[in-house]
Amino acid sequence: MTLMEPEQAYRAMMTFLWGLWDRTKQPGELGLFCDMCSYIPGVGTADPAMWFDWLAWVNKMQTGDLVPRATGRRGSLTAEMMKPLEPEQAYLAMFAFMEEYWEVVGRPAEIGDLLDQMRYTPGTGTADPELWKRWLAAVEKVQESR
Amino acid sequence: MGGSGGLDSIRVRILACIAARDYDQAREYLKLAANMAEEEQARFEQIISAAERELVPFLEKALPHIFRPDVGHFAQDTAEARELIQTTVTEANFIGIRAGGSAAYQRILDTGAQVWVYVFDGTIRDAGLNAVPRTAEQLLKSR
Repeated sequence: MTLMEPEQAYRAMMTFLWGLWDRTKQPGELGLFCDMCSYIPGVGTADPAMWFDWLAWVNKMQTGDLVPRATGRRGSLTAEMMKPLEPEQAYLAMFAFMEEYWEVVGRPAEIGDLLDQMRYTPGTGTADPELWKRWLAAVEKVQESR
Repeated sequence: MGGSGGLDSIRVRILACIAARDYDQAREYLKLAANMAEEEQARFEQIISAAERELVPFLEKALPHIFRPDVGHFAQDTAEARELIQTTVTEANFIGIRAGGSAAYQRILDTGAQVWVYVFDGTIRDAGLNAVPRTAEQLLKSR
């Protein structure tokens, strides 16, 4: 698999998350999160700040520096400032992005349970091995649609 | 009642009165909160008034996500921002249900900015202010 630009990695994340939501299609915390994060190329995310939160975590994975949330500073981040991501790096950025949201909104159980299944250990994979396969499938799907 | 402990006690009592729909008593407690900052007093007055008008409430846990100085959001949790958001959640401003189940609302202010609100399970879960308004189609598009 080739490297992904941050925008492409974001689309892979949304393909992955909607795929998880499709397993039950039950309105709940995951559906709400997907709604907030949904992305329209050229327009941005439904909640405009989510795009910049994503870039902050991509930047963190690449530089080790996290631009703090709720400071107004994340709005100056651009995708052009980031390097392309390996699928593993993009996965870790997705996990951290979701975990931050989960913390901010009081740790809803549905997302907490999902994060437990998604937790990734280098060399070992995700806690639920099926999720890593789903992630790679989402990456492949987005790369094919380039 | 004075000090932060006294204020905490008043806050709890006001919220309990709101939950019990005893709005007059909630206002009586608010009058006792002489040490409370003016901005917080205004916010409590708005919370009481919004509950009285039966406006859709915020989910308390979502407030740190909603009010923040980031793109597309109200920077601070103020009475004015709450009022703008909660009064946007009306039938006239409803634009549809999103793929994940949240209901979307929007309205354009006199300034040209757009208030957007997502409601889920009877509470406001996300909201903000777009300097450049989006179309209803864009606000509804999920996947």
